[in-house]
Amino acid sequence: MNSSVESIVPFNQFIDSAQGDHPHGNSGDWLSEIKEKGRIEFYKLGWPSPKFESWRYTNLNKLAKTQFFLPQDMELAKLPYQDILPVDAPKIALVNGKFNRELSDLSTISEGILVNNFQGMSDEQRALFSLENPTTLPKEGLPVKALNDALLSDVLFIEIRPGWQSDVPLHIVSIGCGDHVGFSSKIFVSAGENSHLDIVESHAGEYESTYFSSCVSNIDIKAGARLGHYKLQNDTNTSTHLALTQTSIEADAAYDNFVMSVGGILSRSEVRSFIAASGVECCVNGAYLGTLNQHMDNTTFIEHAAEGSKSREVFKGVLADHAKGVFQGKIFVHPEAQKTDGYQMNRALLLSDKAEIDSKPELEIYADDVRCSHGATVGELEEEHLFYLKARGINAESARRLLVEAYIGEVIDEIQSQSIKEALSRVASDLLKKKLFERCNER
Amino acid sequence: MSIDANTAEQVKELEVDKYKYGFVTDIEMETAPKGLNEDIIRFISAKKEEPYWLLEWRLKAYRHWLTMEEPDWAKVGYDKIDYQDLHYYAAPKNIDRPKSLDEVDPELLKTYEKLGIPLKEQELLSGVVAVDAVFDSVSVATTYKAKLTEMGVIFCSISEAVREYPEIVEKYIGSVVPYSDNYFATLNSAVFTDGSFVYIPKGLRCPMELSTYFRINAENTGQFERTLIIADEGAYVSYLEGCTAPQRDENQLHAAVVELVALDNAEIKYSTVQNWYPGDENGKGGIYNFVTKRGACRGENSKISWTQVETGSAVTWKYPSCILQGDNSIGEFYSVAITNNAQQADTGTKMIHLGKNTRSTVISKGISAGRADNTYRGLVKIMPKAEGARNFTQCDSLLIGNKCGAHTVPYIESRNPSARVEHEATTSKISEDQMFYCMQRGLSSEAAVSLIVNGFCKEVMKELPMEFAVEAQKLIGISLEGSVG
Repeated sequence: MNSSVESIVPFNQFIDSAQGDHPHGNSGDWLSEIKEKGRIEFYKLGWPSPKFESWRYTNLNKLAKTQFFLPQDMELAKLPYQDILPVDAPKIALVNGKFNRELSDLSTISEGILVNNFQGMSDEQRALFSLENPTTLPKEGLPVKALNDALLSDVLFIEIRPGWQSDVPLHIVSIGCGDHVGFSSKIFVSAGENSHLDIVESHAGEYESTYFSSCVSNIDIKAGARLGHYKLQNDTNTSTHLALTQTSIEADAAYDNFVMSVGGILSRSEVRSFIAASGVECCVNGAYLGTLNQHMDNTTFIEHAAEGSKSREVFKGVLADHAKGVFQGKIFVHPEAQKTDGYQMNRALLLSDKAEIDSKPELEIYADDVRCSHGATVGELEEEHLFYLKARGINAESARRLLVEAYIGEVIDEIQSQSIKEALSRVASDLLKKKLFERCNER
Repeated sequence: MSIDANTAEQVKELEVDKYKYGFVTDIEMETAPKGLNEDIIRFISAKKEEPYWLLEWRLKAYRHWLTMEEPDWAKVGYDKIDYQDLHYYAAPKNIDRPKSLDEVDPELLKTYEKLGIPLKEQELLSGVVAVDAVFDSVSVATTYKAKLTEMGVIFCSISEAVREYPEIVEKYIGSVVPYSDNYFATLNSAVFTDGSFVYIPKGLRCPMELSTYFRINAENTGQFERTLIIADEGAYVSYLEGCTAPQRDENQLHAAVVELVALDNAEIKYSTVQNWYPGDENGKGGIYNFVTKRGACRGENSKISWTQVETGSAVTWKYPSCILQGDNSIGEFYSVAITNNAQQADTGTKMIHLGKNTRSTVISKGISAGRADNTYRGLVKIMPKAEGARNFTQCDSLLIGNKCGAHTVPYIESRNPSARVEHEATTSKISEDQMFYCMQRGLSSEAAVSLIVNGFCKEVMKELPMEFAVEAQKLIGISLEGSVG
């Protein structure tokens, strides 16, 4: 596509302006190259629109027409603790996509875990970083990845040494702040053989900020490693969040992913897992809670490329007011991937007659000796369940709250890490209260 | 599982006998020159002595078609169709709409006999089925007409309906599938040559099953038939459709449109056994079956039920759908799709819920063998006013062999909280245990597969009318022969 024509789109002007930004001086040549490649790629793919199958239900038209600016160096006094996950862990703070040493707390980080940002990365790490995920791409490519590259200003590199097993999680806190700023964050995780770590991501914004953030995580899990990856997307209600997580998993490794989406006017979380060898256990789960005019998209793609691996996927959503939820899940089984065990379930609860859910659970299977199933349900709270509770003296509002909490609780239970499960349950319960049940403009 | 000599032998024999409908009837044909342009459309329209409004409608469709692009979103791959290399009109000569069956070309009657369709009325099973036979593009015979007319049922070819009952045709044609609907439906609207027309008057339960057999015979012809079925208030009709084509090396295009309209309390049951020539085991030849089928439950408490057994065609691409407009209306879709060798099928349904308390059920069974690809693609859409709507979808896939593919692509869109939508899908293979169990009791591996697959499809097969069920059961066996080894 001709970039001069594209430039008329305000967002494209912003992308172009990001090219001239060299936050790291001359040492940023490597970064500039990635940015330029990303920009070209993004224009080539064109803006995601409903004419692309994987963007059928999420329209970025409005975003393309919004003018964003590059973030200036902002002073952020402290992290918005009330909006991030309460876990006791070393913290890496990213402010508008850039590593912020002052707000980070790496004093308790264990020695088997290496954390670098762009400036500290070695050549080997850069080489690792540039490796492409071996996934089968959709026909229309991955525009979020290209966009993320085009806006890159920093990179976070996390390496877990082979055999290093840690009970203490690592918390990445990404904060957006400013008025109409746009930024991208990129995280690379390399989990060495037989290592174990839980990584927690919290995405939030400074009070009354409006921003666009694009978050890409590339995760490489070596043989026998176990990686937990839990994310809370709690951006400000006016912001846009486009995320893409690409994971490649090797023999006998385990990946446990959970995404909880509550913030943003428009958010999309795309998780793509590539199972490269046998004995893998891959869980991609999530919950979403949409109110007001929120649009929440959860798109997943689990690819079985080797024999005898398991994948499990459970998503649950609660949609109220005018909120719109999207779930697109796909299990892809290559001919070699015999004895695959795949499960996928999406349930959505509609709490208002203006709420909407579009769900597309998909199976694409080329091996015969597999066990794959999927299911999807859409509906409102069961009258009988409400009646049961009311008959026991619980008032209607509490009964509803109890049922919705239990509904979401069921999927949070899928999380394998006990401490994070508890933390997320608490956050979910608070958020339900705040967003659904204790609003001043009570319905 | 290893192939024993016996199985190999059987498979060999089958290769000769596999598609028993593969013969060609040598009959004198009148064809339009190859190619598609406004003159051809005028030619077709003139041949059929159509009123002016229909010609206008055809031309409107054709002009719209020129602006459209051939869709490519389905999970099927096929060589580009050269739309200028087809005959858009082919009719057996000398059949100036015969008054009785005695006037029908004996060659033609023989063809239908070979197909197992007894056109001669006296041969009909004590009069339970009335048949309209469509040969290439035109309807050649309709049986039991007099008896049906007496009751007020109109069952004739659509060309005849255009001449005899233009006001009904004009009112309903294109009202369910508009001329601009999709690429193939638009092409059909421009060039359709014949098809069946059914009108069941108010309150009548049609006493016999109505049936159409489609046959593509001539080389390089596309078959574009159009079927329109209207069930007036309180009426009921069961309609059967069967299709076959000769064995040819080239691909042939079949782009039909079927429109159903059910008014208040009416019910239409539409069953298809589609057995177009699937091509040989290397994927050479076969029919491209790109069909638009849609029913509108316009009235309250109306019901439309689609049952299909898809065993033929090189490429199948169709989604029989229901638009549930009337309150309490019901849509059903029961499907068995079997693909073997290099066949490809992308089929499913669309259930659009508009009215209150509308209900739909979707049961789809996909069986894939050889190097075939079988996709279920379905949409369930609940509109905001569809208070209390209910859908249940179940699609199961069975894979036989490790070179085939089975895919499930459901779309669920709900805009009403009181609606309940459920979707379930599984993919599996025939288990060793099941096979062992059957073979231990003396069944050959082929018979065991046929038995297991028939069991797998039972939910759908039981929806078929008697006449079809037997045929369909046999077809399943034949379609899968040679797939185990």
